[in-house]
Amino acid sequence: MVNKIDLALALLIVVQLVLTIFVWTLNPIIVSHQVLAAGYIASTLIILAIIVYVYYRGEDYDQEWVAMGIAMVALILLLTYLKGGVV
Amino acid sequence: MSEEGKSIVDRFARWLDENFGFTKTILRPAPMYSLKNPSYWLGALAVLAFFSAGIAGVIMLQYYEPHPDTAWESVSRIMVEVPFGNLIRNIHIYSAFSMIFITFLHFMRNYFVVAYKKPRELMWIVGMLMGLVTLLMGFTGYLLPWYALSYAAVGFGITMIKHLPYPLSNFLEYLVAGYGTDVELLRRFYVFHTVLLPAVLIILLAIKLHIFEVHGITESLSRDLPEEDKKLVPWFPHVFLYFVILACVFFASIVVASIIYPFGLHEKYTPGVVTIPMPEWYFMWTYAIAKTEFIEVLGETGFKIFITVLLIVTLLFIFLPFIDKWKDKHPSERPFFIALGVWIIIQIGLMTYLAWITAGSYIKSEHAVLSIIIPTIIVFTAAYVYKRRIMKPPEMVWEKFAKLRATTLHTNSKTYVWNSVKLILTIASAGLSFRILYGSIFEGLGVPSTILGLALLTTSTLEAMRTIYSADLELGNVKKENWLGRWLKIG
Repeated sequence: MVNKIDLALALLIVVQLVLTIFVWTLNPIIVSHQVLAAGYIASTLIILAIIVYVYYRGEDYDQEWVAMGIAMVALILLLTYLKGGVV
Repeated sequence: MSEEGKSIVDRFARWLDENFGFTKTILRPAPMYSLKNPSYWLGALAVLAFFSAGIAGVIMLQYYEPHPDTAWESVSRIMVEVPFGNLIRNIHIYSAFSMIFITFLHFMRNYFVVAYKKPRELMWIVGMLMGLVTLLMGFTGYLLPWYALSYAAVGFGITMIKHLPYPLSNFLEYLVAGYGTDVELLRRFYVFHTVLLPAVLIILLAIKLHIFEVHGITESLSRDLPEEDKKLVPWFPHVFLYFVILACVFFASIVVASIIYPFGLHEKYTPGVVTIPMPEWYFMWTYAIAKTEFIEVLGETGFKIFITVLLIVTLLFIFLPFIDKWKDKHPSERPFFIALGVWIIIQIGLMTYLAWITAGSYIKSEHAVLSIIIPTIIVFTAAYVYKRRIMKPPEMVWEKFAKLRATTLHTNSKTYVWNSVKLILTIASAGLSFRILYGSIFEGLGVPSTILGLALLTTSTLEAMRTIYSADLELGNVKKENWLGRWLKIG
């Protein structure tokens, strides 16, 4: 029986795989590619933290932490773009 | 954990446990209250920062050349030619900075919660030694890129060593600088930074971890701790998963800092280059004291007084468990100890600021005296007021925040989005306001920018106050709607 949390975790692993493959295709010498890679790695880490938190707390999770995590991911992606993280 | 034993993740966790025996670990269980407050895990975060800096450092070691002729060039090559070199170097620097900062927070937190009393005296002393080794790692690492700036700062550090009591001064000077050639100086700093100091730190860490496992987490100082929070939970999965979350957020912060404010390369040191000695931020406060007018006027004697006082204060803090005989541990019963801790934090902040704005000249005596006297009067008067019970001691900040629930629990997905948007706007407007105000003061951006900066700062402050106030209302800390509630339209 697969529940929602398992599905979210599976989705995260897919997202991480896609991002890792994408980061792998970047040119690690170009600074803008490094910034993009760093932004994606940081976002993935925060998403992982959210999923582990929700999984750990089960039904008893606090909404504000999840909201803060989502806000952080958005901020990181915004900063990555503003700091020239482009392909 | 929900639907235990049913989900794929649970089955996978059980399979892992059957193989590794996590649940049969010798690591001791932790009380529930420690998993609701990250301040209990500052030491663990500092260890994480140490390993993060270490891994990035080992990668850089493959390309770094510890010789005055090639050190700067090799760092430049790391930044430009090595794959992800610039990012790895920044991760190393930010991990090191965060290690120092978290170690300081850990020290102050343990001071405030009196974590040095029996039976943790030796744990405190080992921790203090670890803190000193951490500072030395920062000091030795600063020279490795061979900047003119770091060379001058290290020169200042060696001058401090020369003023230590004899024969310690001669021995230490020989140990860190050898016979005085640049090649020897850099090689010794390199060996200290990459081999000796990390080895000492790992040995001290092993000792501290052993003591930690014997005594466990420090007791909560909260007087109305619910029974469920006192419950012990096993290390796996509870402490492990909690720490995975902290580690993810920590690493993400380090990586993000590396892209927001990446470090460049300063001017290379070559004989004859004259520059202002500028230590790293964590040594700025000592630098500030050394370059105050009255120390400079006294010359050699002034410097000796400064070194002696610094040495005595360090020793006092190392042996604090044997000096502090006050029995009550609760902060509200120790107003003067708390005041002293607050005073130290304010002084370090002020001295760092004074050193930064007076780079290249000395700090005037009147500025130095005022920056000492004003905080002293304010902080210790407040402590006296609490001591005499003229004012009721407030609920401890961390107790209040531990109970905070900024939003009500809804399953509505729109609430998530709205809260996320509000948080982004609040954080972004606070950050932007600081940038604009900085620009208005130091870059002459003009009055409209100042007004915009102040407006943004006010908006973000009001939103933060509103969040805390609504949480207070929900918790019952505020009995009924007051003028603040009406003004902020809550309640």
